[in-house]
Amino acid sequence: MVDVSALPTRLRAASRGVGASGAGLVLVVVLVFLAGRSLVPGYSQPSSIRAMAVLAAFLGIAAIGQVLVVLNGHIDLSVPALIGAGNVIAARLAGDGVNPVVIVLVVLATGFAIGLVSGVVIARWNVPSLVVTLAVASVVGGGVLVWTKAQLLGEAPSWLPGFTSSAASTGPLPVPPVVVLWIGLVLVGAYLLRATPAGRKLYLAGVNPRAARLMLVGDRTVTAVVFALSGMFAALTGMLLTGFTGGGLYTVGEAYLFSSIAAVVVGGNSLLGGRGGIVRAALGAIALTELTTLLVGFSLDSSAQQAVLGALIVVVVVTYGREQALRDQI
Amino acid sequence: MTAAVAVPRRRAVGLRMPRSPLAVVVVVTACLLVANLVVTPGFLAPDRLPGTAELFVPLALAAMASVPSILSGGGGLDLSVGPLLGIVNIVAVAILMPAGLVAAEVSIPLCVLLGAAVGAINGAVVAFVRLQPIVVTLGTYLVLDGLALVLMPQPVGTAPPWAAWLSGSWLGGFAPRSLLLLVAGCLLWVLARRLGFVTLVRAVGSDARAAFTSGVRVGLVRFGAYALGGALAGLAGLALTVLINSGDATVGPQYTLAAVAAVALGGNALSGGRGGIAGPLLGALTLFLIQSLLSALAVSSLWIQVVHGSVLLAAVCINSSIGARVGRRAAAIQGG
Amino acid sequence: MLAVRGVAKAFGPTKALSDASLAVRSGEVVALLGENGSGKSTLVKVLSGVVRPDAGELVLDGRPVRPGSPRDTLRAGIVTVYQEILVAPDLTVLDNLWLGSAAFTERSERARRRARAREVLDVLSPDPIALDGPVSALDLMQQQVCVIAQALLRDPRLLVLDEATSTLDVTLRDRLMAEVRRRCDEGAAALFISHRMDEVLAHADRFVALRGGVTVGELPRSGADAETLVRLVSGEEATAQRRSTRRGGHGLQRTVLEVSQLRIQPSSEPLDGIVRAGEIIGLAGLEGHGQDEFLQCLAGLRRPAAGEVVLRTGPHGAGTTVRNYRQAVRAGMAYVPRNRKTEGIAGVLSNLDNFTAPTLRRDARLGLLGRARRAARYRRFAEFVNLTAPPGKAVVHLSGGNQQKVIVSRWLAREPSVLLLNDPTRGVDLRTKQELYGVLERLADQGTTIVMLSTEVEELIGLMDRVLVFHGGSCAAVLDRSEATRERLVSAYFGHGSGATGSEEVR
Repeated sequence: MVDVSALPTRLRAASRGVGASGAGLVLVVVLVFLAGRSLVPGYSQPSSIRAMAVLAAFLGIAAIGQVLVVLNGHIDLSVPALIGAGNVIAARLAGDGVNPVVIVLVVLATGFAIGLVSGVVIARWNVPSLVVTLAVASVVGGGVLVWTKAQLLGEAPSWLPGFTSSAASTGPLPVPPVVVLWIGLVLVGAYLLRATPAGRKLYLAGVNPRAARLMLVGDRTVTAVVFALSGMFAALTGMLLTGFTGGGLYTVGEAYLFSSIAAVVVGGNSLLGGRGGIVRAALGAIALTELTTLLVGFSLDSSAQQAVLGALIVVVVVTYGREQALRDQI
Repeated sequence: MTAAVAVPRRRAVGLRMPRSPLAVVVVVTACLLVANLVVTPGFLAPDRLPGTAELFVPLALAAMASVPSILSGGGGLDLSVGPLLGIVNIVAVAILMPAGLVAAEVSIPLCVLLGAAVGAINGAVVAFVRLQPIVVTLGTYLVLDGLALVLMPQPVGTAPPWAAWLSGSWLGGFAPRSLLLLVAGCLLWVLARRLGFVTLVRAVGSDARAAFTSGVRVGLVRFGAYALGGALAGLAGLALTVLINSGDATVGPQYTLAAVAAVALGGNALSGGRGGIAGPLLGALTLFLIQSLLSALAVSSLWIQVVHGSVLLAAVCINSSIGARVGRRAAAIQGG
Repeated sequence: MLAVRGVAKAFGPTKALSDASLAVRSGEVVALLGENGSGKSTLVKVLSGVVRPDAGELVLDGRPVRPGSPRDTLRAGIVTVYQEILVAPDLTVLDNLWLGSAAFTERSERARRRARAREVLDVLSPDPIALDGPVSALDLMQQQVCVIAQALLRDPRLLVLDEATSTLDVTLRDRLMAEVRRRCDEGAAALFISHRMDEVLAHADRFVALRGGVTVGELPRSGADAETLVRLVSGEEATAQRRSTRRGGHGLQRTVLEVSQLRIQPSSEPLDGIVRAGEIIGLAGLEGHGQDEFLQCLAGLRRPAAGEVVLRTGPHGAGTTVRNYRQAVRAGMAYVPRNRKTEGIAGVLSNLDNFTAPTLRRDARLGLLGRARRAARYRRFAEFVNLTAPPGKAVVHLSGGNQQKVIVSRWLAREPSVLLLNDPTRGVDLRTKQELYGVLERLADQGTTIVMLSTEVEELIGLMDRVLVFHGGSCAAVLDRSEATRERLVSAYFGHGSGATGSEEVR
């Protein structure tokens, strides 16, 4: 424990040397891992690393959608509801023996469509995204409850447990397929943001919607699309989680309400829009999963874990996520 | 002189503009109130009023508690309001009561101070360490929520005597005593406004750099805003204790998002700088009236979420589209 | 009264100031001159307490001071109006005026606050500005007035005006300078920065020049003229006051822009006219008299009360009626907005991102942006406008002039037939201004039609083929190059000498 309390100072000293905040973030990911390794027995064993990677992948896939929304200067509170919906739909359809490809398509399309509704409402009426996504979450969550009569139904698609189990491997790689999928999505997503007109438009509209409009960037279209994508990624996360829930469990998404936002902000993305990126959200998801696992290793009960995690998030972000002083902005 | 003619016209426009969006919220709220009265004719009857007020007051105060941090801008938002309600409730029941601090004049100020202290910690980290408010208050959210469960893993069915007193009423039910807490919150706000503090918070939220170059101590103002929000959350925690008349760690956190929704429904800009408490109070009333209408209509518990979400969506769209139209018209008059 | 000695300040590896010195005596108006990047703005920030210097000292009334924040300097009586218009848009005008001052919160002072605010605003602005409306409802110039009024209300001992007159029209500028002079006669002092040579020469008692962060010279009013000042500032031989040698039209008689029966407001006089390829048209007038609205009608950002705007940019002069902005841009129009910060740039993004925004589609192949293609396009146009800033730098860190070059060049990359510019030289230093004029003239020579709103008489006279002067929401006068003189322009601003060409010369 002494070592943990000394950690922030060490981190700060180290990150000052590194300078750029992106490097600071990578450093945090590494140092938290090293701390876990020295403090918790078995932390760095391959099996536990793989378990962490799977957890980070679930969180990370949901966080891809959230970070797109955040880059646009908004926030998506409907992520847990859509995770729940994706989970229940996938389990239901699998229980009815539907073709796996159809399941995937239906889940993704549903998430996309619901997200699109939020996005269009937000862009068209200029309404706070926080309230709209909260309301949509309520509608979707309620809808799923009505549909399933609040029962655990269906089953996981047969191929999914093998896809998301931490013991599984991807061909020759000793890494579970879900982790490969996540890393692939992050890399492709980050590349697309860099190298496509749509990606650049997302940033332009996030920084200054008014100027963006005068530069022929359809800022409203951008908003509608990012919410649709966020819905899609949330639904995808929900489907992947059926491997854990076994059947359709609506409440499976609840844990992701704050953790998807936490992954984004721990990654150093600004909620004011336009600053950050998908890779940062992924690193945030890793850091958060590492911290959580570290706390589990101390065999604290879950509420104490949560309290310590809250404090640690703030301490960690202090090392690289400080805002510019006002006098430097004039 | 044409100039002399121009003054009163422009002034009239200037005055009307900020008020109009509020009028929309008033209309929406009034409609919901009428609907409630139609469905439940005795909605405001003296035998039901104290219970109704008890349900409303924690939400109203939580909404008020969210106002200063949002108003102070820079992505300002206090996610920890809900768990703060919870921790105040738990401290009152699980710490102050066993320590014998049950007298109202001791434990009520202590609870408000606790709220202000937590708010001040948030404010210090936001203003002086310069972290994004959402990171800070998310951290505080997790800490408070976890701490509450550590302090009280199971609900405890007793409450201090002042809670029972506050759940009573005067004038045969016409004047519920729980409203005293709401009045206290409003007085706190009015005091802050009279001292010019609220305008400073608005200035900082509107453009922090302009405030800084005008000689405003921006950090101190932001710090104060979070502390004020914390104190209001302390009052809300007391109201929650009155409502549940026990200690329960799981109730508080639910208020965070409802409170922010109330602020947004009330027409305050979530980006800061604009709005007061009248809008958020009406927003809280809107949310509350939707809820009570649904329970009065005996909507099946499975459907209640769907309807609640739909009504919230409709209300916020109506507010925003009409508000925007009013704003445009005012701007057009101003420009022409 | 105030002396600055040997002040130095570095931001990372860049040295903004290395040895700046300056003295201001009670009762005098000192002009601080320098090109962009000379360290003027940093020196102003040192004076206002925003920036703490690395070395050197500030001496106020014989005592060295170390201000920690603007609050400290304001207390000491040094009041700064910054280049950027810093207002709290959601607050009322009255609250903005008193923000941060000691009398701000005292309720007993309320009536006095109103009266004083009214008084100062009326001194500055002939049209009354409502005290109780939000500042966001005001236009740019009225916001600037508010910022200046806020400064004057503090009864400054030293008033620092950093480009504070850039959005003001001629009347207001004169009113402000008269008030500054009056205050200086009562014992205050003023330090002012302006890129308008005429203004500097008319109002300053003394000139101090900065170059590369060092005070390089000082001149008394006597013996200073535009040429010596430019030489002092740039360190090079002055280029003579420009007077364009172009002939308008260049024999290109193709009509590009047609305006028929256009009324900006229902009460305006209808306007008809055609603009040919290669013409440079100036729009002028006192602030709020319709020239801004006219330009926005041309750009499709505003619907005229009546009439229409036709872009004849298609093959064989086929016309498109302008209905909205997007469609107008597609038809070959480009618009450089007035407020760089809020409408022109996406601040934290790179120079390159801001440059390529309107041409993203052209840079993409199979949906992917080619890095080389973008960079090549950037290089080509950066060279055309002489933009030297690195493409990866965040645009918010560029000087105003360089930001403007980014904005102009990104539209040039679309090869527009009609380029509309809304006061593009505001807050841009002399050298960059000259460069922009050169760019516009070259474009016109290549056949681009340019319509430019300007608040500067010099550039209206020197650059334009024709000037449309607006008054009371209508076009009140059209002055050809040969007729455009300072006197005629200014009198047209006030509604005199209106109508047809060849009316008698005023004065």
